[in-house]
Amino acid sequence: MSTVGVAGAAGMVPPTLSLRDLVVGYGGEPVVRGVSLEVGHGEFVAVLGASGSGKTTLLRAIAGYLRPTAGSITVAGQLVAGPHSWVPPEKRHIGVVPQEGALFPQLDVAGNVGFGLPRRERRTSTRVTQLLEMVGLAGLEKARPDELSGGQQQRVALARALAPEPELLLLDEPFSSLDAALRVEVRTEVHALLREIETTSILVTHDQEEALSIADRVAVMSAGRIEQVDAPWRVYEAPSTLGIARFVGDLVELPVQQLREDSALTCLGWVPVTAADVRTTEDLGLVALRPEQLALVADRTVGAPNDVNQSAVGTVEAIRYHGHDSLTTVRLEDGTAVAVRAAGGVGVAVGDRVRVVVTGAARAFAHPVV
Amino acid sequence: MVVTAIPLLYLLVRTVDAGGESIIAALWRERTFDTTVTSLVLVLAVIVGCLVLAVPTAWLLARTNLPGRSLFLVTAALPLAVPSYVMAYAWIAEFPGMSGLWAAIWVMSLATFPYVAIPLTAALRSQDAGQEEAARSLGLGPLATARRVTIPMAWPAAAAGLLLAALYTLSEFGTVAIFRVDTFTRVIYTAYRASFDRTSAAVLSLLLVALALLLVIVEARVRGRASRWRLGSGVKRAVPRQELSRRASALGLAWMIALALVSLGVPAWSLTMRLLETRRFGFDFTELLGALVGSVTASAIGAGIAIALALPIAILAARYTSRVVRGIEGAAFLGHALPGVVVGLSLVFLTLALLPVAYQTLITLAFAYAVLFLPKAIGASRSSIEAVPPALESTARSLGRGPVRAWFTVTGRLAWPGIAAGALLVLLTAMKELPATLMLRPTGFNTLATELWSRTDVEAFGDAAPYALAMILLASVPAWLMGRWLAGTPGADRADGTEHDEPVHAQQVTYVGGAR
Repeated sequence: MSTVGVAGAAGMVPPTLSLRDLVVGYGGEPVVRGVSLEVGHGEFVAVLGASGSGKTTLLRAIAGYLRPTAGSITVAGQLVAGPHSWVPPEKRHIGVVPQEGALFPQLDVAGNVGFGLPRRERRTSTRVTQLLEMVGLAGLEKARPDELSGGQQQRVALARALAPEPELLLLDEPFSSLDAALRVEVRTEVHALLREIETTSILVTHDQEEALSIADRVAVMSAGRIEQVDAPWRVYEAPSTLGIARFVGDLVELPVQQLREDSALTCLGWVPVTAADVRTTEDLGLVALRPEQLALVADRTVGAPNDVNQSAVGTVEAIRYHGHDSLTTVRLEDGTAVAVRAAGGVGVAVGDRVRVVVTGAARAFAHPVV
Repeated sequence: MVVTAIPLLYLLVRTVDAGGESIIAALWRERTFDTTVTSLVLVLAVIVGCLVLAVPTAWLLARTNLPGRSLFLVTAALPLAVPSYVMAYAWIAEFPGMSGLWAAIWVMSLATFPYVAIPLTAALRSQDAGQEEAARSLGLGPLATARRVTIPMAWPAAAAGLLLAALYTLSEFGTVAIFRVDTFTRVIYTAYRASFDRTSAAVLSLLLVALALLLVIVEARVRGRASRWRLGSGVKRAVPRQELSRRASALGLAWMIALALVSLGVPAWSLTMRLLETRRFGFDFTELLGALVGSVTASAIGAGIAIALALPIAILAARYTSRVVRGIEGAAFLGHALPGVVVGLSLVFLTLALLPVAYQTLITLAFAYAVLFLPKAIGASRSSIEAVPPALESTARSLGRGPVRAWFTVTGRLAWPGIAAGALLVLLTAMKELPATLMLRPTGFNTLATELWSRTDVEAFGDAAPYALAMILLASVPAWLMGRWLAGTPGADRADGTEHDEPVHAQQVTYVGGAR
């Protein structure tokens, strides 16, 4: 699909958004503690974090609703927040799609979409109609916000934010209030639309599937800091910390018994590893695998137990079948339980003896400090 | 619902009976025209007065960091606990020269501005920061945001409050009588008293009801529109408060203190002074006690009748939404548009014509109270019945209880505190009712309101003070109860570290209100 759009930062064009050592708080402890990030023109960046990680505070500071205590924000080459400068939100040319849409209840749909346009354009231009067509709500000009469904309200909020042609669009968990099926549909449409009109966008979300599926780059935020900014596949397959690895998807964690240069001995035998965290000699750490890196083989088709590296024998304990894939829990002979993901069904039953085989390399991490 | 309608229908029949010519004659008199103009001028001026008093107050309380906000929120709501004619009495006792339209406008504005200030404060406070932030991100400065977003969104709350204040002013009898302003209520009462000019009184009553009905219907529509304006279901973020400069803080404090002084301080001072005089001249406590007993007896019977009439309607309205039920409920709601003087007059006619035995009896008086305050009783019972999940009752049915037993052992059992509160509210409000009591009470039967009235009528201001004080004490009971109830409501006492404000609910005003 897309290139990793970091290029915007290095090129001649200034990045659309540039954050330098940004610190934001509400008086007490800062909530955002020194964030630096560059977003290139036309790029779609997702800020992913658990609730309380400071991602929404970061977004509000970029929008101009909050004054940072330190650091700077530059939008399209213009310094909008720094030690001695401050540009109010209405002069930043940043569009915002709030979490609940925040439509103006006293205005109809057309009034909402045209809200940010100059008075003349509100009345005469066809811009409102165009925008409504763009978000798939043509003909709903006269509808009132309370007559719309949640998904429609979000689309109106998007059209309203896009109307003044902002330099940057901020999306604050705009899909989280929608139900599951609608969420995927709306976000796919919104993504396609923003790509088509090449709007630089930042999406704040706590939903890793959402961030991974639509962003060019994902910035993972935790405890007020950005811990990794990378392409979605890098964040998933090569997370820089155990915390990120756990947050972005299911994880099989195995303690390391013995360590070599490029492989580690675990209950699944010798597994090839790529290192992530620094490891001290006394802490062998653990290795992390995604459940889809494990596969099941019926035990009888393989020779004697434990003669093969990267595999181990166990008993099927539970099967969660999801249709498109299934997650099988296997209790290995040493007592460790591992999860195995397979496309479709697996053709085994609870109680079956199976062999678990590792494919690809695992990531090695130090034990988390408790 | 027929109950509410009977007096009004009878009034209509009587008017029509009088014949077209005399109706037209009554309508066409200069007196009718003058009365209408005076009433409308009074109502409009009070609306303006309420806005002037309420808007800065609400903004200071809801959107700034003014010191002492929670205290001032109480002082802004407290005038509701002073019956408006007690306030009028307090002012005229201190400044005996006060009279006429301006005096009435002044006192009615002071008595009714909380109807606007409280819901407006609540509306401004509860607005989600989202819309204002969205407006800013779309290029609007702070002033443009206020003009295009904040004010339009808060308007329905203010408008509903204004209409309530207008309705209250239109039905007010005591204040206009004390200041000798010839609005509908006073003219109707005088016509009934002095000349027994029935046709004229009836025609004016119908005109008054028509105006009040208009206000009630518009108010209901505005309120309905406002309630639809809640979008989304997520957690709202409060709008940050404006930091006031030292000078602005001083100005704000001066405003709030001045307002508290004229709306509460002057009445309190005046009553205290009169009370001290009374002590010096001696005072007949048995008379006060007799009036208190009279008030409680009549009001308690009235509250009993009102609840008995309200319960079936409330049960139907809370659980079923057929067109018939909505129609019945709507008709009951229209009871809000019946001023005490009209109910009094129509029941005088009705008893004299159909049941002379009942004329000026305790039962008729209590019945008048029930008709007047039925909407309150329905409202309170309905909301508490609605709060009981229907699944509880159906579960009781599935466990083998019959419909009636299931209702009493489950829904009725759980809803009774709300129903009882409704009855108490009717009782306390009925104690303040003046014109209907004056017209319908048995000879020699006195209530607090009538004793106060008879003393102010002959300008024996000192003697009236103990009655006024007793009325204020009684009137503050529902305010106090509501405050306690609100304080115990989940969400009123959030410990999430956000702003900690006095809970204000628009509903509070509709409950406490109605001190005719």
